[in-house]
Amino acid sequence: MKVNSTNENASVLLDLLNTHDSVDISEVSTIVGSSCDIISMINSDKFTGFNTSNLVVIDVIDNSKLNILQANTTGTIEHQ
Amino acid sequence: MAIQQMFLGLGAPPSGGGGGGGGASWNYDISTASFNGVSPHYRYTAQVNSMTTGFFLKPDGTAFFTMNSANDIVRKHVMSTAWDISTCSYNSASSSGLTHPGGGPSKGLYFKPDGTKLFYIDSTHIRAYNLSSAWNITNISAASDSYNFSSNPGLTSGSYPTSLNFKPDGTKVYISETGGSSTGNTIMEFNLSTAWDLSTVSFVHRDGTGILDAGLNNNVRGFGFSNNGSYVNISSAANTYGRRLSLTTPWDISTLSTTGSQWTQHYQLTNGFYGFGLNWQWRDTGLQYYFMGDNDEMINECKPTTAWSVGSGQSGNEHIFKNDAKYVDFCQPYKLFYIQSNYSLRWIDSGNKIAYTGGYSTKIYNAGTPYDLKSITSSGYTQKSLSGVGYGPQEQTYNSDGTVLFWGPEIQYKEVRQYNLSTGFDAASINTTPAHTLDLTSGSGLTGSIQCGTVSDDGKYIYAISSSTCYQWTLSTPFNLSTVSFTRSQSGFSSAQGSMKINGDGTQILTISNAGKMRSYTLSTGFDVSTATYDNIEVDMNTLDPGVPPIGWQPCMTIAPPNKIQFFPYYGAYALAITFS
Repeated sequence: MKVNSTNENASVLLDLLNTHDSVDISEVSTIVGSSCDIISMINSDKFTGFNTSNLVVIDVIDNSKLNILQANTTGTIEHQ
Repeated sequence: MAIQQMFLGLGAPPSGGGGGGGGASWNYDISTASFNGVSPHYRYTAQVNSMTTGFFLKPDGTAFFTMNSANDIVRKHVMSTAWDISTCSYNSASSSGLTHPGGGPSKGLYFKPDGTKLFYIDSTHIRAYNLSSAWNITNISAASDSYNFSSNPGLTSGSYPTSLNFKPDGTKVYISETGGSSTGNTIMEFNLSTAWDLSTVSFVHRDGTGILDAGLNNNVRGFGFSNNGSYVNISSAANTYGRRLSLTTPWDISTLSTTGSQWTQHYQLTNGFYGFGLNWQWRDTGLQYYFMGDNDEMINECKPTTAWSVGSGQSGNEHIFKNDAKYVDFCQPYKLFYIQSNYSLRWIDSGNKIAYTGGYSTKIYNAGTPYDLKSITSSGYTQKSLSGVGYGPQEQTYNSDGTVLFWGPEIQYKEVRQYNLSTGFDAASINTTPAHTLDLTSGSGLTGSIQCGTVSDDGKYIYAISSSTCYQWTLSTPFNLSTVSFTRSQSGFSSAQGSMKINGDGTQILTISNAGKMRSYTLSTGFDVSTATYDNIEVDMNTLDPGVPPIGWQPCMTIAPPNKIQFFPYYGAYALAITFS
């Protein structure tokens, strides 16, 4: 399936894996969520279009997690 | 820290008119807080607060044994009703920690089925203690047998051991190791020519498949077998992954396979999987399991609907049972009414409805019984997507007839928006063009991040906390944001607050921090934050009751008059009510 909204919660996107084998998020410009949620999206290998997403991380993250995020998107990474 | 009274010459604000908590008044003595409910979680932070290093379930389902890094002491927790963690209580502790001459901490726990011997590892050896009385860990003595696994062939270069487990007949023992991330992750298999005798151990092989170095499995911190040895569940600190793998030949770790594998996440229930000995503990039916994370001191009970199947910490079917009537003052919100990424929940319409948002949209759910979290249903809910809003509204406040919604304070754009509804309490009727918007940074001096905020029930006052300062705005016409003006700010509040509420007459503010600590402030002049005084009462939710799971980051505190507060933490994996007498 393809997600058409521009801003989405990572947990909502992960939930889509319960009913879809793959999810196209190339239209989602900003993904908001906890670092665990976002890293799970990356590791699932079931999202296409993640590599340009802007990320807003809403919990405290360490450098190792930040490195994972930076390695997987060319978008901005913002921490609130 | 007490806040000094400080009047700013604006006079006393008008008294609150809307009551509190969605229509009823409240004023809580938080020193009387208690959890009177029933929970499928058991927490022992009151006994010890450090990394989990060992976890074992007595096979008859009547006791847990845990170990933590602080002192390597083994603790026993008993269930008065077998297989029911809601009946669990702390029982006893070993008089001293398990020694680790090969290097600490002691890791992993396994008991011989007759309860007379316990096994664990340090950095080089499998070691054991004898129990003079079965399952009684208050009188243990070091056993004479041990096994050095550090050579022939030894650990993978750069790896360290993380856990051990046994075949239940005592003829095989397994040790997991990790290099700390995606290298050096294996499980080693050993035979015991005499069951349970460590002097007869010999190395067989390690899995050698490389499967455990993969992204969904690595950083192995524990593992558990199905009772016939055909499945193995991995605790992976790559995140909080619970990965079910299979063994093509039961109990033969060299046949580790991804056939029929499952991949799940558990961060919704635990801080992380960075501990040791985090072995999954299964009931022999495969329809019940228990797991622990690294620093929660919490045991989680789960009941899969398919044997030996593990779902995610929030959406898995093993959490459905948590909404049974038995679990009073507790619910699993995701399974009850399908919410997650919770930013704010607030009872409205005298507790007959609850307003919820996970950001970007707003929803209203019905409750069968006012203020009863267990009676919330997704049936008949209404919703509206809101464009251009931030992701993190800390509050949603409706006026008494449900025709005006204040969205915020919101933390991304630092604003409050006013939306009008054509039909009261029908979110679908929201006019998505905001009637007014309050920029919380304009003229207030608020420049930092907003941690939390609220709006008084009567729609006259708006509050936001940034760092340790509380900012206040006043509306000359209730629920008309065009009449708002910045009033004052007051320092002296504790920082890192996750949620705040003000009661109906404006004389009490409650805050809950991201560390799960609740504070109460008294306002000598209603709604005037400059008159707030810390009541010198702080309630630590981490140690309030064994049935209370961690409440901290994005706690979504709600008021449920006349005597309760509820928390709906971010992931939607649990919600509970705290009672005040």
